[in-house]
Parts: sequence; C-alpha cells; structure tokens
Amino acid sequence: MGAAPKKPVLPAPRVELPHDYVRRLERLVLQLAAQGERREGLGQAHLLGAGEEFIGHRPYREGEDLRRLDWGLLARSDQAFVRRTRREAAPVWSLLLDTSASMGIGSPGKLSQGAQLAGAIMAAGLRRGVRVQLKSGLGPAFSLRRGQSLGLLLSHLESLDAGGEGSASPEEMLASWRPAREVGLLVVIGDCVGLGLSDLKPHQRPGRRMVLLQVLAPEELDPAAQLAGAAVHWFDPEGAEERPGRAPGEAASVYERRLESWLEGWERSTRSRGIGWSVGASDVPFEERVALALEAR
Amino acid sequence: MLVWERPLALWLLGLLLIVLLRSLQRGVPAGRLLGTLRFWPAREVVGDEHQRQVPPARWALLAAMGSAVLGLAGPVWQQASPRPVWRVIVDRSPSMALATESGGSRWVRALEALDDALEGQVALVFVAGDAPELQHDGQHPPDAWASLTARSEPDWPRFDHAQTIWLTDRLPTQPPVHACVVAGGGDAVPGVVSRDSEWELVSDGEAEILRAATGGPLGVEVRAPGSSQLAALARLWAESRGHHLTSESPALLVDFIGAHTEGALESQRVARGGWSLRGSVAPSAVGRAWVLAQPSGWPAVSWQPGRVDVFLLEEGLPQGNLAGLAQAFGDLLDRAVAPGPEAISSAERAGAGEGGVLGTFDDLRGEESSSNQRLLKAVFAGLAGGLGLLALALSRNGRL
Repeated sequence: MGAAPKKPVLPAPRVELPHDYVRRLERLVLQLAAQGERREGLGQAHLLGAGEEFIGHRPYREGEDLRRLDWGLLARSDQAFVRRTRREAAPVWSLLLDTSASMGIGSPGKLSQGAQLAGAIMAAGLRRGVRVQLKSGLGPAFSLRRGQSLGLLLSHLESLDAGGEGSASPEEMLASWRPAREVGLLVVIGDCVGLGLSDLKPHQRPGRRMVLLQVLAPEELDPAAQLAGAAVHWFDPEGAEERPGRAPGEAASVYERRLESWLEGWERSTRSRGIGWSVGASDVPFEERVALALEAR
Repeated sequence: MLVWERPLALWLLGLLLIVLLRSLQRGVPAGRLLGTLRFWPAREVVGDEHQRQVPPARWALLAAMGSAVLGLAGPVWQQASPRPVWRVIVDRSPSMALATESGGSRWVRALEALDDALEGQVALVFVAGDAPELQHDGQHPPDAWASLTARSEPDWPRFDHAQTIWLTDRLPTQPPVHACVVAGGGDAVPGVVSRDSEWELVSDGEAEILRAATGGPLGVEVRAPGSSQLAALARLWAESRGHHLTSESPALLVDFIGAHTEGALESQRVARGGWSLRGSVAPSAVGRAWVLAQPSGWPAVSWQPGRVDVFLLEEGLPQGNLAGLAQAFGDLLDRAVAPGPEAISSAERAGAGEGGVLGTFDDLRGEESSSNQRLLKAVFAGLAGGLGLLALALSRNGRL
C-alpha cells in the first residue's frame, strides 16, 4: 500500500491586506460611485439600482421613509404600500472566492489578491445600498448590509485560509449552492483551474450579471521571466504530483502555449455567453480589475 | 604503498569538497508550487532537464585542482621489496664501555647516532669487529657486547666495503673509502691506566701520574702438578713483584698443562736467547705462542692477558744462559698479568671528540624510490594541467 501523498506547504495561504487597503478602498468606492451616477444620468442604471423604474408594490414596514409610501394607493385601498423600484429588485451581490489550496501560492498570494478584489466589490455594493454576500467555502455565506461596519468585512477576509478547513473551489461551491433569485451580480474570483463553463451555466438567468475574475500567480503566467533560468521541481499544491522543469526551457515553452490556449478559450466562451471575464496576476493593483468587473457591457 | 611527503597539504582537499558540495547544493532544483501544473509537460514529453546539475566544466576544474593538491602533497611510492641489508662493524674495545660524564656510555651514544643516521630504513647485521664470526641480526647489537673487556679494536681497513658501517666512538684518522662511519664521541674518562701490586698509573684526562697502588697486591696462581724449573721461576717472579699466590680471581694464571695432554711429542727442544730446554710437548693452539718446540714447531709456551699456558714437560735442567731464561720468562709474565678490569689504557681513556658520521646514506632508500617520486609528481601535475585544459574547453564563454 503506497504512502499518502504529502501535502505541500503553501507559501501564502493567508490573506494579507496592504496596509493602505482601507484608504485605497474608500477612494475606489468614491470613484465608482461618481461613475455610477454619471451612467444613471445616461439611463444605464440596470445594474447599480440607482434608477426609479417601477416594478410593483410591497407592504409598508414601520420606520420606513414615509416619502416612499404610495399615497395614491393608500387613498384608494386604505392600505400602506411602498413602491418597489429596480434598486430593490436586484439588491443582492454574491461573490464566490476560491479558497482551494492552489490559491495559497504566488507573491503576493493569489488568495490575498482575490480577497482584495472581493472586498473592493463588496464595498462598492454597500456604497450603493445593495446587500452583499461572500461565499468562500461550503458553509454559509458571509453577508453585509449597508450601514454595517466595513471592519467586519476586513476581519472576515483576513480569516480566510487557502486549503484550510472549510475551504472550497468555485466549482465545488457552485455545485452545492444556488444563489437566490434576487442576486443580480454573481462574481466568481479564483484561479479557476478546475472550473468549466458548464459550472457557470446553471446559474445564469435574466437580469443577473455574471463576472469571472481569474487570478494567477506571476510564475504561473510567465514562469520563464519569474525564475530566470533556475532549475525547479514543480509541485501541485492540491496533491503530490511533481514535474521537473527549467525556465526558460523546452518545457516552459510548451507550458506557455498551453496556458495561452486555455485563457483564450475562457475569453471566447465567456464572451459568447455574456459573462464578464478578465485574468490578471496577483501582483496587479486590485483597483484596475474591480473597475473592469463592474463595468456594464 | 603510497605515502605523502607533505600530508598537511591534503587538507586542501577539504576545501575542494566544500566547493563541490556547494555546487551540488546549487544544482538541486528548488521546489515550487504551480496551480496550473496540468499545463506543464510531463518528463517523458520533454525529457529530464535536471540530468546535469553540476556542469562538466566544473567537474573537470575540481578534478584538476584535486590532482594539483595531490601532487603538492608529494606522493611517494614505497616499494614493498625487502629492505637493503647493511653490515655494522662494532667496536668492542674497552673505550666503548667507558661511562661518560653526561651519563650513559660511549656504546649508548654510538647506538643513538646510528639510529639517527639510518632512521630504521635498512636491515642491519651487527658484526663484532674483534671477532667477525660473531654476528647478530636486528636493530641493535646484544647488550653483552658492551661489557668492559680487554678486546682490541677492529682491524678497520679489513671492513672497508660498501653497505658497511663502522660503529665506534672516535672518528678514524684514516677515513674509509667505501664504508660509512658512525661515531658516538665522548669526553676523556679519568681512571687507572695500569697497575701492579705496588704502583698504579692514573690518567686525569690530560696527564698520567704514578701513585701507590690502592687496590692491594695482585693475585697470581701457579698451577703446576710436579717439579718444574719454569714453575719455580714463576713463583720467584711473583714474590719479587709483590704479588701473592692465590687461586681466587688471580690477575695471572700460569698453567702447566703439557703433561696432561695426550699426543705429546717427546724429545722436543725449546731454545731462545742462549738458553734451551728439552722435554715432551703437547699439541695446543691457545693464545699467542711465546716460544716454539723443535722440530714439531708446536708452541711450548703461549700466553694471553691474564694467562700463560706451558705445554712443555721438562726433561732435565735448562741449559745455557739461565739468567737470560729468567729475564725472558719474567718479562712474559709481566706482560701477561692482567691489571684488572679497572685498568684501561690511556689511549682508550682519551677523549673521542664529538663523534659524527662519515659517508653518505642517500642510497638507503634506493635510486628507484627517487625516480618513483619524480614520476608520480609528474603524473599528478600532468593530470592537473590536462583537466584544467578540459575545463577550459568545456566552459561556455569562460563561465563554469
């Protein structure tokens, strides 16, 4: 009987947020809000929920702003209803953050980069008044509403552990979890090594935008440049598989061709399905990718 | 067997080993994790790219440096063939047994000088210079050879041969042509030079003085079974010299043994200096002959230090110059009487100088060994040069 494969030691399993992350986050959220207001002025508010498109009524809840009360219906029916607008029809953003072991590599770590992206998108959603939830494993999702402390979000992000207990890959989370109907934005963040388009399709529905943000380590995107010719033994962070290599070398060339083909496949397939997609290294500033993810197509 | 002239240089190999280990350590590929490992081709697709972790040029350079270090350490191939045998002619004269002021004896000093000169490189056969038939194999001669006796010095010129060492205390005035000399040296040793029952001659290292005997009269034993004119002369001589007749450790034994020996020849005549004796003479070969019997030619009287042997059984009275007979026989007894072991001649007691070594011992190890040394060093030097050139050829743009 063979010995169980030894679990590799991950170089960056924990989330390390930059020391100026909060400041950069606030600045980004303000920038996005300003852009959103400009788009609403141009009639492009379907995602951000800032418009006043009437879609129905719901009973008035005590303490609500009386200005939202439908005074005409009250007069006609003697019952208090409030008008429902587009903002309230899509009030939830769901994010899936890959916490599998493969996210614990890179410099900076892929999980840290994914957490920064998730935090930025969630902060932007809170700024717009939507409810945001982050699913990072097979357990319950972490949810926040507007008005709740951003510190809760940061603490939750910093508690994540790649390959740790309760961690899961996006395909595992998508297979066992079905987003609520009101989820208007579904963002998947991870290296998506094991993810396929077939995992995303069941969760597409009218009025819901899906975005796939792929995060890869610098040495995954360009091993030749990162390793400067040093001989390495590559290990699979998910198991004990090992492959020899030298970068640059013949094997590195083969790898680059295969990776490029794989990424091109993602770009073509997501475009054809109307899914937002981008790929970037873990050392790219998160601001660049957040803006791209929230842009309307 | 391979031995090293400068074994400390071999420590430099440790430095090369460190360099090699560091090279190997650098050659071990680092372990890196890759989430997209499935895109990296398997070994069989592209081949093992880690087969050569340490460049061949570096191997060649290390080997060249190793060869240079080995050559520097001075490799010497020692033949396992039997060691050459040298004959050591040992001086056993009384001077060798004299104690020196610095302790030990000249014998010990000579042996130490021999050990220093040879360093155990050769096998030795010791030959007693005064009795060449007496030989001994080993690194040192028997201790019994060092006893204080009245042996004479070797007849040195007789032993002037190659692979021969003269072992003595004093460098010879006439150096040998072929043999080597190892002399232990030694200061002058004061003491009794000669003595009789009344007087003794003493050397103080520089001069000799005569003083009254301090050891008492010498003992003389005259062992004669019957009446003999010569025995009577011996007793008279002892009385005139002040010796006392005794049989306990006599300084001189005058033994009349001719009558007891079978095969004696009768009617022999013994004549010398105007006197003559007649009688029967027994055959003998003891000591040095003093007078011969005619016509047999056998010694009638012989002597050695401490002993006079008379093989003549007299028939009748001496004829001719009887005073001459008494004078000559008395002189013989004077010469033969041993003054005791403490009486050593002034020549023996004289200083033997610092000693020293004459001749060269370069060929102790043999010419073949020297040529082996040069050959081995040349091999290592050539190997180092060749490997260095190979390293240069294998290097890429001068990089190892």
